[in-house]
Amino acid sequence: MDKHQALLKKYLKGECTDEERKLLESWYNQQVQQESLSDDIDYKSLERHIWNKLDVQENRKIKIRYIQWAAAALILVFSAISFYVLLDKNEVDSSRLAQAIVPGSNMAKLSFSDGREIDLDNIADGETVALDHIKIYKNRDGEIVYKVMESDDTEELFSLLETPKGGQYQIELADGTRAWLNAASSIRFPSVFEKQERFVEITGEVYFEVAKDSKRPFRVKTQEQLVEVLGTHFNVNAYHDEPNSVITLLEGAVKVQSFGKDYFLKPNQRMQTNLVNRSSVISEVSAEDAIDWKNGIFQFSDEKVSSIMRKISRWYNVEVVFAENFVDKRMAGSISRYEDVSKVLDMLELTNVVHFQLQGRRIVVMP
Amino acid sequence: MTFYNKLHDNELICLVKKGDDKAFAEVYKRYWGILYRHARRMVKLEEESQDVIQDVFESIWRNRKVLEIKGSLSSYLYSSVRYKVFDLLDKGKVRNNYLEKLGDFVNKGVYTIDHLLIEKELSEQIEKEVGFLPKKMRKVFELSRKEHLNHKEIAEKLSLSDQTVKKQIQKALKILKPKFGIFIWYYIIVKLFL
Repeated sequence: MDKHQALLKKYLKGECTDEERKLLESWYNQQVQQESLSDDIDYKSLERHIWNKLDVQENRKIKIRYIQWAAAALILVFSAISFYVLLDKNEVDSSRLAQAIVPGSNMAKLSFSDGREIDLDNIADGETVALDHIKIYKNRDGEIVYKVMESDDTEELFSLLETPKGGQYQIELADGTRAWLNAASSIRFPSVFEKQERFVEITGEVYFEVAKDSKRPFRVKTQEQLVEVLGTHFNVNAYHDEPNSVITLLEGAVKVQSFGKDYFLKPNQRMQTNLVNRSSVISEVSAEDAIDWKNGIFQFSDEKVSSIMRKISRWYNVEVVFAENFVDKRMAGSISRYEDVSKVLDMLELTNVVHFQLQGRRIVVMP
Repeated sequence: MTFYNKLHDNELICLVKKGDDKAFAEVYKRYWGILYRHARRMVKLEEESQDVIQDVFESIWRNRKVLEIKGSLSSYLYSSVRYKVFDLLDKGKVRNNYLEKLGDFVNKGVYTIDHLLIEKELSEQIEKEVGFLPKKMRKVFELSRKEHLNHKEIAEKLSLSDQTVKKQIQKALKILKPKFGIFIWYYIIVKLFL
């Protein structure tokens, strides 16, 4: 075998030295420059022809199978956990420190009206994920930035971002509006906003910084109310397990439609609506207090223990039960949301208004 | 599919690794033409040239999960094509007297070029083919070379907003996150049973 043929074989096996490789590759570069190519290529049919020969399958089927396996695995995990929890209950641990209940963190799921879902925990910070004409970018702070590219298909696609108990999330919508979701909350929005309005639906608690767009009002619908703005900062608290819905305005102006009536809010005003008797009260507040959760603290000013406990339950993903002789008193104070639950409970106990017993993931509230 | 064409090569390949067939289709759309022209120039035979392109793309898709691309996607593709051409050459499937010419070249033994320079030369050679493509195809390629600002735009936008408080929170979250895995399971389980 000639030297150059041996060299070629070595090259293909990846056994060349650097010098040998350079030799072959520089020959290649030199050679290609001397070659001509007649231009009788039928690009259209060739593009399709080669593509069809490629074995690129839609991998949806595989995904479904994967989900089934995952479901089976989850049930196993669940059984294991239940078992553990059952065992655990037999030996109630009264010492709180023995089992730290950690606070919530950035967790959410993004799903689409066509059934697709994205687990946002699987996207690394700084990574981009694309779905058709939607581009989802997770910035370094873990916030989701949602970009919609111009698209030919006019098919309306809705996205739903949901946080579980113990989760929170931030998202930037296609128009630049930013929304912060507290635990056990959701926001549903179209992938492309309409020309006349920007319409989203929420549950739970969401703080908005609406991008200014004088031509397209931004409308937020809760189960009972509709908030309309042009560009402003406001917080909507509409948890189903709360007796009141609370809308707090930090900047700008909003109009709220509530049970057939219109209300207008100014900055540092809070509108509290009793969902049972449907009456609303507007009062002056320090609006920043309403977004304490967004800023990482629990802020209670003259708040009922039952209300405080609902917040704790959502954020720490714990069950709260009240002892029979419990009396719902009010208290004030603030503490970081990033402390273990035991620290928060200790602080509340300092008031001597309430006492707690921790049983696994259940908190018993006692006088 | 007007969206994928806005993505950078690196982003596309990230998606391909996750099994996104549309991202893969965009990679194909972007590169098949120039790669084909280049292969055809060297290989001459139509069937064999097609096989080269097919092999290159097929191996990317087949190996997408373990794919490791050092450097750019384009230089990965270019060197893959070159490898395939060498392979055909070895098998005697190229209609040309290349072996002879290679023999001469090797015997002269003059080769002191820097490796990076060789790679750059190859890119230039292959990307020259863009100019010969039909207008529509040319645009696909050229567009992919323009839209690289997205991340920067996003970053600029973010630096305008109130980040100080948030950064602190995020720092805390990063520490806490690993401890929290189990709640995600709970959440998914609940969703499954509802």
